[in-house]
Amino acid sequence: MMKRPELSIAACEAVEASPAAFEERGESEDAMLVRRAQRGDRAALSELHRRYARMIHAIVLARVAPGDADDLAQDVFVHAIARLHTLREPSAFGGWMATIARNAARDHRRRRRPEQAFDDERAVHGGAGAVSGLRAKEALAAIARLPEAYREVLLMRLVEGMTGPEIATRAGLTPGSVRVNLHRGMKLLRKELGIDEEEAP
Amino acid sequence: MSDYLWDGSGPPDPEVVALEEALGELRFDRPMPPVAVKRPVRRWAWLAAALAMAVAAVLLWPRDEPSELASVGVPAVVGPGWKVERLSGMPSCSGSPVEEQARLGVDEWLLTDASSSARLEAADIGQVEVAPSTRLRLAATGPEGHRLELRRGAIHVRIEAPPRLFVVEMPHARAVDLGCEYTLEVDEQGDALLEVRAGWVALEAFGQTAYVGEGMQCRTHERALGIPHDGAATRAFLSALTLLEKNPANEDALEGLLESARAQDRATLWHLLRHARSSAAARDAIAARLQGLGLGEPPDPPAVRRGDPEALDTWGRRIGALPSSDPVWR
Repeated sequence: MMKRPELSIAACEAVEASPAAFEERGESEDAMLVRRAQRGDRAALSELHRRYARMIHAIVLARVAPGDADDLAQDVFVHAIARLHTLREPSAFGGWMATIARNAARDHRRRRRPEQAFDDERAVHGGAGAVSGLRAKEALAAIARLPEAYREVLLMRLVEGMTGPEIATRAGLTPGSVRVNLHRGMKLLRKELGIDEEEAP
Repeated sequence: MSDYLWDGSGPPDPEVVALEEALGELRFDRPMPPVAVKRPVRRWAWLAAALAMAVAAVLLWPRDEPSELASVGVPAVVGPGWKVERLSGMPSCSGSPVEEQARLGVDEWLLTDASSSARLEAADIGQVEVAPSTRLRLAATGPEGHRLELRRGAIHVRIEAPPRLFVVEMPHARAVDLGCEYTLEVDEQGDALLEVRAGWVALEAFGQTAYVGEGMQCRTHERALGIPHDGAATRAFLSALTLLEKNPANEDALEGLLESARAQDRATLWHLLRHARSSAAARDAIAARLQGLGLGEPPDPPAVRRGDPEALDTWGRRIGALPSSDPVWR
């Protein structure tokens, strides 16, 4: 246990914030960023957004229309940062963000009006530079039919370009779980898309 | 699995590449929006407040009703109370009527009659709506976690917090929040009914644990923990399940249940696999049905057959019968 030079609040906070204290606690780099962000460090906030925004977006996209996902992902981040002070365990940041994202997506889906579904088709087909709008719609629909665990990791991998190790780190999962979910998810996705598995590598 | 799918290394998988190209246009690339950060209450302030309130609690606050529950799980840290908002009628908070708002302190009771209801702000982590005819106590709240005692009635809970930070103690069961929205009801006999609207809840009772996911229900009855089931399960399935809950060795009931099982009933089938009184033959039949429902093969069939907990848990996560996040529920 690190000895504190004096029992003053400023001294305790300084010790808590020092790199040595982080190392002693065995904290990850992300946990360090969270602690700094909790103290109002905007550079740390910006880095957390860069690291976690895609995960949030994929979780939201697993549940809402593509046309709504970007705005909702930003709202989730804003909402979470406003409550960052309630997070007592910085190492739980990824799982905590994932929970907030899932809640927000479910709320959004419940509030959604049926006629807004027409906008979704345009949102998928209308993207500039799309290789195949029809294929994207098919793929999203097929992914939507998969179990939740597979849906999220597949979107993180195929939409957001996150690697398996990155998905594990950000989402608070073990690499083993992510690997299994990616493999099983991709297998089921091929089946949903009518791709012959014997032809797939 | 190809390395390419895992981390983009090795020879590209054409199907994965095609999906990446098709779906990549949806990739998120916005900059950080304007945000505001609220600084946490300093640790020393929490400690000072906790000590002051602990002294006050001992000296000044008599208990309304003695707790019949042992203090388990979350320690009874005394912290600031929760805000109570009257929704209808005239709820009672620590013996005083709540006209608009009040504060529910640790070890205090919130009571609603047949025509009243209330809403609690659960620290900074969520909300609890309290239905009519409910008796509810705030047992603990603080940095280490939060605990309610639901003696009778119903609450609707919505929590945004890391798993296991929020616990509801009931006469014969404990609900451990794994995130995030559910209803708990306790009847006059002390039996509990849990219905999960979103996320997962671990329901612990009589030495067993049930993992109840979105759209599912689970209850305690006659001093036993039931098997979670989908809220939309068929009548035939539920009838067979009721018989199996009373006697897991009932082969006719198992046959009827498996015949009427849908893919949405996977969690129920998994819990039956895991049930201590299921035989190897029963596990074989259940595992075969899960495979027949398109949920894949178990990772280790002999281990599943003999009821190996780790093999069962691995398969459970894989088929979506357990939370996909790695277990804090061990």
